Amino acid sequence: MLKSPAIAPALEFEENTLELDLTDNVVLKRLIEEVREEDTPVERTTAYNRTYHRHNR
Amino acid sequence: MGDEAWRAQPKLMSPLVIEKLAEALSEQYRLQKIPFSVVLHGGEPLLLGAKRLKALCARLREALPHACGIHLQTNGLLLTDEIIDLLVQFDVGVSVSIDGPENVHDRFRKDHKMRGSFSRVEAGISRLVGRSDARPLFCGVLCVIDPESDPADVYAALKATGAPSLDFLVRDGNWDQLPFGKASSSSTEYGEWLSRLLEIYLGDPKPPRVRILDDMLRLLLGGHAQKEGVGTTDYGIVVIEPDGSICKNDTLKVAYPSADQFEYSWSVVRDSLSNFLESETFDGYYSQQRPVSQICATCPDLAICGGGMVAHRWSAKRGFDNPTIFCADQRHVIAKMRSVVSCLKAEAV
Repeated sequence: MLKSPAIAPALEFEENTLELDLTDNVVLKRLIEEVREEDTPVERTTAYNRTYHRHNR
Repeated sequence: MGDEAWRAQPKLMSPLVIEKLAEALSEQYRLQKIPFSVVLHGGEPLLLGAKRLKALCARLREALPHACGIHLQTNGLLLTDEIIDLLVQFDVGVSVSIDGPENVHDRFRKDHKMRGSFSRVEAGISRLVGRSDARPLFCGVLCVIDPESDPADVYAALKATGAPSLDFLVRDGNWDQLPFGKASSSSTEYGEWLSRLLEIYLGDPKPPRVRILDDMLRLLLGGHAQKEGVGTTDYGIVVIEPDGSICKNDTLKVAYPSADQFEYSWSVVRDSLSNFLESETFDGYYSQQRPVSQICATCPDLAICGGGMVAHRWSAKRGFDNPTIFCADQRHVIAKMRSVVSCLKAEAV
């Protein structure tokens, strides 16, 4: 067995180095919108969704 | 990686098993009243051929309303017009396995004559996308990461397929057997690859969806993930083998032979699926997805990675009581995402 860490240290993360205006970022905007509109947990995890509910192999 | 249990299975699901399966799924939907998805996968499910695929899909559609998805995970080689007609007829969603541009895809995906399959996969996708009646069925593409490839090339090739969603899988491995491309448990080849992919994705003015990155970012933004292997939401996945036996998630085969088997051999032919889903056996399996490692329990990133895929936590010495072998990779890309979200919040102030 390979050696695993004894504890999980908090990782320092660097300042964002992307040269993007993240406020108008297409990906982030649509995700923020989705998070705002999330419904109940049961509906969220089981509702039929063509894009996401596919096998992962 | 994987086991040889498939050799003991019949090549095809018999009409009796199909009937029992359809009855079980119909009954389960009637009981739980919450839609679920049925995914045909293999191996390669299109090896069934058009006639058998039609019989299977017809019976499944008869048993389940359209609120329940029927999907196909395919290598794309057999996506003929005859097959596509059936997928349209029975509203079957399609996800195609493709690993990037030709040189990346063909490195590992070869047929029995050692020929790369890229051009034939590309042709299959083109047939699917080229038909207006079938295009809505195209769910996305699924790519197994080659950490030695260029994420920019891979992203561009997958986006060029016209898929609405891209998804990425790491290669199989565990604490006893390192995944391909990973030099050590603490190295971050996959994390660096995914971080670069994140940069490319965020920089794309017309991006498709990237499921793995969307799920992790959504969690960091205060939302929820939508698929297993990310976050701490529980998912109920069972596999029905060709002989009708009910098994655990087949990804567990990566850990050790028969890791997907229950102690008692449940079967849709012999047992009630709803009884199985209410059993202590299923409860035990279901709870297995929650990480038990103390390292995970105290990790500030647990809510994002969820301990990773169960199969990737395995070691013969400690069972599944480990973080995922991709822990360092996960934490690398999560740190990158945290920096993006932190910057976003700073800009919003």
